[in-house]
Amino acid sequence: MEQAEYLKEINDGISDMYRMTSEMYGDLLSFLKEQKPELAQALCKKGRAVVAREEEIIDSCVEALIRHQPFAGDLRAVTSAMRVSYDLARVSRYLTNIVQVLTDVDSGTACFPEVMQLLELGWEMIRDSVDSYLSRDPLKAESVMARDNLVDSGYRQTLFRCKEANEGAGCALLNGLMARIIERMADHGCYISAETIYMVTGNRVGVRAPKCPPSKTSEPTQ
Amino acid sequence: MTTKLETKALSAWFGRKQVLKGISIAFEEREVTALVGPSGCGKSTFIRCLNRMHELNPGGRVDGKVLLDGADIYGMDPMEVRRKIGMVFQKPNPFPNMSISDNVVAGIKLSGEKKKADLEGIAERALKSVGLYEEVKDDLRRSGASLSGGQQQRLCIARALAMEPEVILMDEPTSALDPASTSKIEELIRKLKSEITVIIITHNVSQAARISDKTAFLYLGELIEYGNTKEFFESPKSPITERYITGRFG
Repeated sequence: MEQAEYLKEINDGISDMYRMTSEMYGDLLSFLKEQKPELAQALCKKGRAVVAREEEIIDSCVEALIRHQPFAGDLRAVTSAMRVSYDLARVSRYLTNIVQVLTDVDSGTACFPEVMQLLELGWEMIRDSVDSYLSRDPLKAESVMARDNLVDSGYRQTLFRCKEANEGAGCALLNGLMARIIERMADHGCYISAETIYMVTGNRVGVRAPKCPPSKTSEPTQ
Repeated sequence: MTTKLETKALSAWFGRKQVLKGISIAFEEREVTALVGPSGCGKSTFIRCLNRMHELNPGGRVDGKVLLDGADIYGMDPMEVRRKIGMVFQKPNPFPNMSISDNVVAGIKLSGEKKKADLEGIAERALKSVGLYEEVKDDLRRSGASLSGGQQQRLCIARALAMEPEVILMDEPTSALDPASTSKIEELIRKLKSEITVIIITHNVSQAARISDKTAFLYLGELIEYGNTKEFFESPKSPITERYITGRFG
C-alpha cells in the first residue's frame, strides 16, 4: 500500500536521526582509538542535534495526528515513529555517556577487549533494528531481539570478570559501567524492533517491561 | 454482555438487485455500534431491515432473521417493532406544523396516549434527556421548524426517545450539522448508551472512533469486519478495512 506523504516525511526524519547517531558511533570508535578531546566534544554536539531532531519528529507526529487523524497502519506508523525517535535519542545519549565515563576516569579505552566486542554487538543491534524499521521487515526485527541474550550475557560476564579480576578497581568500575550502558543501548535495539513488528503486523511484543534478574547469579550464562 | 439485537444470514433486495448478502452480527445491549462503509455498501438498507422499514420500499424484500432479545421481529407487529427500535434520520425532520412539545409526543399520540398532563411530562423528560429543554422551555408552543439544525436533530432524537425504545438506529445523524451541534449529538449518544442500545451509521470514521464501542465495516453488501472500536481502528484484520479507514478508497 502506498505510503502517505506525511508518513514519508516522518520516516525521513527517523532515517536522518539514525544517520546522525551512526556518525556519533563512528566518533566514539575514533575517540576510543585516538583519545582526542575534540572528538568527545564533536560527539556531544551531535548528541544534542539528535535530541533536537527527536523533538522535530514528535512535533511532526502530533501534527499528523491532528491534521490527518490516521487509523490502522497509518496510526501505528505515527505512534511507532514517536517511540523509535525516543529510542534513537536514548541511544545517542548512551554513546555520549560512554565518552563521559571514559573522560571522567581519564581513560581513553576499555580495559577488557570483550567490552569492545559488546559495544560492536550492541551497535549492530541498533543498526539492524533501524534497518528493519525503515524497510518494514518484521523477520529482521525478530532476529535483532534474538540477539539481546548475547548482550545480556556479555554484560553479566563483564560484571563477573570485574568482580574476579586482578586489575585495579578503577578498571573494573569502568568496564562495569561501559557494559551496563551498552546493555541498555542494546535494549533500545529490541524496542525499535518491537515497534517494527507492531507497525507492520499490529501485534504488540512486550519487550519494554523490566527484565528480572537471572535465577543463578554466581556464574554468568554463556 | 447480553446480545440485544442480532441478525442471522440477513439478505435484502430491491426488486431483483441484492443489496445485503447474508449478514450475521450481534449488537450488545447498552453499547454504541458504528456502521461504516463506502456509499452504496448497504448500511442504510441494513438498519432499515432492523426495524422493518425496508419492507415499506416498493420491491423491498428481506431474507434471514432479525432477533430482538431472541425473538424474530419479522414475526411481530411492525408498529410494535418500530416502537421498540426507533430511528433518527440524516436530515432533521420535525413536523413543521407542530409545536416543539407536540413534535416530541407525536408518536405517543399516534399510539393512543392522550392525557395532556402525561404528554407534557413525557415531552419535558425527553427534551431534558437530549439537553434541549433549557434552550426551549420558555416557548414550547413555537414551531419545531423554527429551531436551528442542531436543535431540530435533538428534537427528533427526543421524539424517538419519547417512545421509550430499547434500541435506537441513527442514519448519519450529524452529517448536516455544524461542529458544535455535532459535538452535542455525540455527547448525547455517549449518554444514551447507559439506557439503550445505539446503532449509528456514519461516513465520518473519526466520529465512529470517538463514540462507538464496536464498529462494523460493510462493503458491497457484505459484513467485512466487526469488532471492538480500538482494535478496529488500530489493527484491522481485513486489508479492505485497512484501505477504507486509511482513506485509500471510498
